Amino acid sequence: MKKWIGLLLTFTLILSVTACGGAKQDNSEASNQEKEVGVATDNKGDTLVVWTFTDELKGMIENHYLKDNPDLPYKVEVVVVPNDQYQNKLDPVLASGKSAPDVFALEAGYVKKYVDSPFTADLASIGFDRDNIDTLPYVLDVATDTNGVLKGSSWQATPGAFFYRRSLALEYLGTEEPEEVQALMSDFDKFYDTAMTISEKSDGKVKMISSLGDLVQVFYAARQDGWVVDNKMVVDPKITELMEMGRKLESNKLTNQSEQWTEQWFASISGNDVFGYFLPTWGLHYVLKTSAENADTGVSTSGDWGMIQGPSSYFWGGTWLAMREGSQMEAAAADLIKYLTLDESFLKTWAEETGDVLSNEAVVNEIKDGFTEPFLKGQNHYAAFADMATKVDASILTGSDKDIQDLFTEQLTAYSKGEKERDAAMDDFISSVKNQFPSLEY
Amino acid sequence: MAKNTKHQLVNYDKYGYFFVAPFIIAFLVFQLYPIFYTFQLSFSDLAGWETQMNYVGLKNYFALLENELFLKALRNTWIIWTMNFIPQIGLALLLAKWFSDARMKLKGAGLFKVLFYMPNIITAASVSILFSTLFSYPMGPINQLLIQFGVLQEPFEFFRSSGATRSIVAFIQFWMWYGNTFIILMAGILGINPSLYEAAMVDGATSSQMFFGITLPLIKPITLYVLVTSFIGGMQMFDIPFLLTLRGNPDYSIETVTMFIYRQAFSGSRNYYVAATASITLLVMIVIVSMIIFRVMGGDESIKKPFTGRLRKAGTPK
Repeated sequence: MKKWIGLLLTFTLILSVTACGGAKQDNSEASNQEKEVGVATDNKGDTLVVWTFTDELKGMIENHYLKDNPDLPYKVEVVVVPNDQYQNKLDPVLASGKSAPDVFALEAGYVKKYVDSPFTADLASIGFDRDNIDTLPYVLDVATDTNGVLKGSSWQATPGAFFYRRSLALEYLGTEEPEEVQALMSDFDKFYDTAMTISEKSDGKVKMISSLGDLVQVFYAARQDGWVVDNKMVVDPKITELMEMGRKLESNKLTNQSEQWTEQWFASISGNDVFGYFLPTWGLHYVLKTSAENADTGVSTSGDWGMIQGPSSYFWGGTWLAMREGSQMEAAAADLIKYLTLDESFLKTWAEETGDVLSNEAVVNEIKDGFTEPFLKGQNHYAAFADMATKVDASILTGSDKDIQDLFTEQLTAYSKGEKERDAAMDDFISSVKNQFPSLEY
Repeated sequence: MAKNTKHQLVNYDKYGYFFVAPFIIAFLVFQLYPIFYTFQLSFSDLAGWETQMNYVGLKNYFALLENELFLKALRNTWIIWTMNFIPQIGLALLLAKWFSDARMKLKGAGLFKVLFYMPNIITAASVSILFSTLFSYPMGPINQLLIQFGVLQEPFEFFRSSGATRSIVAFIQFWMWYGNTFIILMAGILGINPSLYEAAMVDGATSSQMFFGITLPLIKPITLYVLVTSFIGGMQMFDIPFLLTLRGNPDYSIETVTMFIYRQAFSGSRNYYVAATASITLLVMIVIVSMIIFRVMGGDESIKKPFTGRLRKAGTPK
């Protein structure tokens, strides 16, 4: 009798295992068929999992997508992973396919890596036709792989600007008007001179920028070549310029010596010790506005800001959305990505609510002239950004940017603070990159 | 007939296997297999999205021993562990002596045990944030304090100095672990038969004579245990240095071996083979050094046994 029970158990166990295997095969066949048809029609799971590295996307989904679509037959779960850990967490789950997200956000520093991997799905299969959407070409180019397949989409364009404090400009430079301030820092030599002027007139109390890290994106964007060209590591001459600029600023104490995204760095936004911040489009609503109020005094710097291009045009960051190849929630993922990046009524609401600059040219052209930003004392930042956005060339982005730039930051700091000489810093930089990317050529 | 009785005897031995099975299975799947897999990886070239491994022989080991950053990480680990262990065992011994001294009769030993152990309960993340805030530049509390008391003229950037950053890490490790060491040593000392001290006191021995003549030799096995476990823990130091500054800055001066392994395995081009090679190298080093420590310090385990034997014969109350 016991033997029989044992046999029965074994038998059912084997059966259930093989049954599962069979079911899996069926599923993948089915999804293959759907792909041939072109549009996914079915969701096989009951939760759409979205991964992102900031809470911005979480807000967009919770406050807009879910409110506009209250009757979704599935749950939407948004997981926020800090940017520093994002790739570390994402890579293993993508490789194994287990508990992997259906939709994931990608930042400029690594979007290329995932676009060129087999884990992102061709968006044409869910109805993206790049010739028929109004998204800026540069935004789509970044998310296009080496074979010309579009694998990601974004709602935003991210040209950068320099935001300065009007009251400080008036006090130390004698003017607060954007045109006149811009004339005082139209290139980096003038930028440095102006920084000196401000420092001298304020007895060193007011610094030009908060952190050296604020500068780097401006120089990165001005490079001719990205970090990696044809599997070879390239150090553009702009990088040396950046190091020299860093040393000039640091040795004359023209920065506030803080690190980006630290408490002290944010505190200066509401304080009076930093003249301005290099920030892109998203920096206005996501960084400046949220930190403008002084936690101790309750005084806000809102309305005391001006926006200019600064010494050089640049772009910084951006969030792209990609769908995982093999996702069981294709239709849901497609719907979300389309809503966030193509839905014109949502985009319009989002732009009007936050002032974020959109990648959708049609909507931008429709709304750009109506903006007066009280935070910037009525300046129309939108029209200015919209103009800059069309000139962005992001072709120098590579998939290793974030990792390499993280390694560079240490050497830039060491050189700027005079701890190392330039050759030593450069050698240490190259050897640290070699250590992380042994397969590149040097 | 004999055959029949044999048949009727029920053999319960096999049930033992059922009871140990969960552990054995978990061990095989989650411990032994990964260890072998790591060995396998260290002889391959598996990295990034790749799923196929090619075997490359001992190449990875030679490359690793020439890798400046790995050697630096190894050096850092040793330096930080030594800087933390010497004061740690010193203070722990001193405290253990005081609290177990029959003449001093310190009050509140239980309370102090809890207090000394406290830092160990706080999570590493909180401790790191606490210290990075304390020592932050230019307006951190420590800097303000030092300027206030005139020790410094202008703020010092602790986390841009290799020596200062290493010392801070070593101090945190020391501060977090001396309570633990203290409790273990204390347990060791309390395990020593009090009549030994009584006899010594009758003979007119001083407190320090008793400490060096009775306590130290008798807690040698415990000290050896503390040394080896601390060494193993120290070589695997990860959380504090990882969280205190970014990427082992400044100048990779607090990057430990495990941080090196982590960064190789999970960032950059994710060189699993380098990470595996470094893990195995670390394992081999720990095994060899631990064996040396045992050989050098644990040679005369025999002291303890005759003692207890003789005491029991004498019929002293425990």
